[in-house]
Amino acid sequence: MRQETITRLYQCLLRLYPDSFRARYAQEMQEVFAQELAEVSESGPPALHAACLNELRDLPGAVLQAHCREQLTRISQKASQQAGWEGPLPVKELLAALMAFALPVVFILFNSPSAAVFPVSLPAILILVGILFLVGMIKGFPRWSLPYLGQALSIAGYLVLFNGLVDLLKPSFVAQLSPGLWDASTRMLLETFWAGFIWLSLLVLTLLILGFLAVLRRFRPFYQRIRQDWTLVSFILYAESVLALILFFDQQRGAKPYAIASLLLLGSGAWMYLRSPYVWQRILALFSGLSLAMWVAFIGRWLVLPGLQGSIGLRWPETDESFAELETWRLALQWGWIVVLLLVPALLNRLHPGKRYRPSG
Amino acid sequence: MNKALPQSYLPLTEVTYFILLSLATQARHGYAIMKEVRQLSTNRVVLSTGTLYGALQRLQDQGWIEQVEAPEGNHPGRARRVYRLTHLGQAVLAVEVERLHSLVAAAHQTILGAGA
Repeated sequence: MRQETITRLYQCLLRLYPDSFRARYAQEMQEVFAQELAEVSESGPPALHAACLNELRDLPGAVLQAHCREQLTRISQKASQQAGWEGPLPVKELLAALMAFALPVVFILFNSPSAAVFPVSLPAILILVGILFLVGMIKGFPRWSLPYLGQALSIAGYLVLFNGLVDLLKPSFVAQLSPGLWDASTRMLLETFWAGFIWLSLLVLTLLILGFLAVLRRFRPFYQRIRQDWTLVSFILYAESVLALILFFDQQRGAKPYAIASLLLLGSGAWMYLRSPYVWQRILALFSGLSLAMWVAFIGRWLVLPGLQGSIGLRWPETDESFAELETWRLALQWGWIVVLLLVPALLNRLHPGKRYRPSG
Repeated sequence: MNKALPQSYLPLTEVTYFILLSLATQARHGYAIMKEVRQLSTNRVVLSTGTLYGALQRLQDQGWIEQVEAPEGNHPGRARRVYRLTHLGQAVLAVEVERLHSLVAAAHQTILGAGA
């Protein structure tokens, strides 16, 4: 076989390699092969045939490896570009973020169900959360500080919405209801609205605060990070559900194991979120953590805990459903609303992605 | 595993080892690497162009070698791409040589010690 024929055949076989590999090395490979052919052909046809067979023998493996490498490179590039992922957190920062979910566990462990005893650990925990929130704010809200931002917002929201606005609205709202309207479907509609009102208000509060921060020059990098990865807002909302769970179990006898389990499941979801490079993985982590936490709360409330005290929702006159059924539905509605609101920022991520954020340093 | 440490990349494959060894003393172009590897391995490792450039791509991406332009001696003014070891590549090669030394030393001690 003539050298020109072999060279043309080699050029055809090079097309089996990925485009990027060919762009980088094809010319060089042809030169090297041509040099090799020129040298071995001086030793006669057997040497020439051996060189060609050597190329053919290694070709499938080399082509396969080149394609695999290209696919892996594409996947990792896509993950880092499209997901807006800032990379894995250092261990210390990961622990700092997870502590936001562990501190409420400490609070529950040391919190006495007796209303007469003021829980000593609560001020210490609130101060610690406050300090970490401030440290995060000074550092421009790195990812580890976002749960503390969420908890600060939820506490502020609780103080303003529940103790202020809700108390203002509830008496007048309920007073307008005539006895004839208290059928099951109307009650469910109003409960749905009420649960949504709480979480929509928190979302609006969160977005307002983030919008305010965007105006301040110091926090513009933070805003840009959110524009590139809206799931950061989902994460903040996720952390706000911690207070909802604590309030849900508040002062319930025998509730500690379920409360602790729920909070640990929330923490697990946060851990998975912080480790996930893809958007769908991050949303799935938050969805799973929240759902599992709510299911544990569901089971605790519905199956095990007798004599429920207190309510987080509207107060109705006597109805056919038991109070436990009503509270369970309320929890399910809360879950539904939180899940919807968790997905809203992810949808924004798709519809209005920001420019690629490049961390400084 | 800390990927910044050269030791974390050991052991090297034979192809990788010989390619790094061929670049230990000077930068070379692709064909020169091919010939040097064949010589160093006493004709045991015969690289095809596909294997060679697949390895060169991987080593470049890992940061163990880098490509530079070098003027071709036979064709003055015509630049030719050659490869050379980076600091990381040199460090990896050094620790691999040390590892192989210790393996051979252990074998010698065992065999010579048993024979004595």
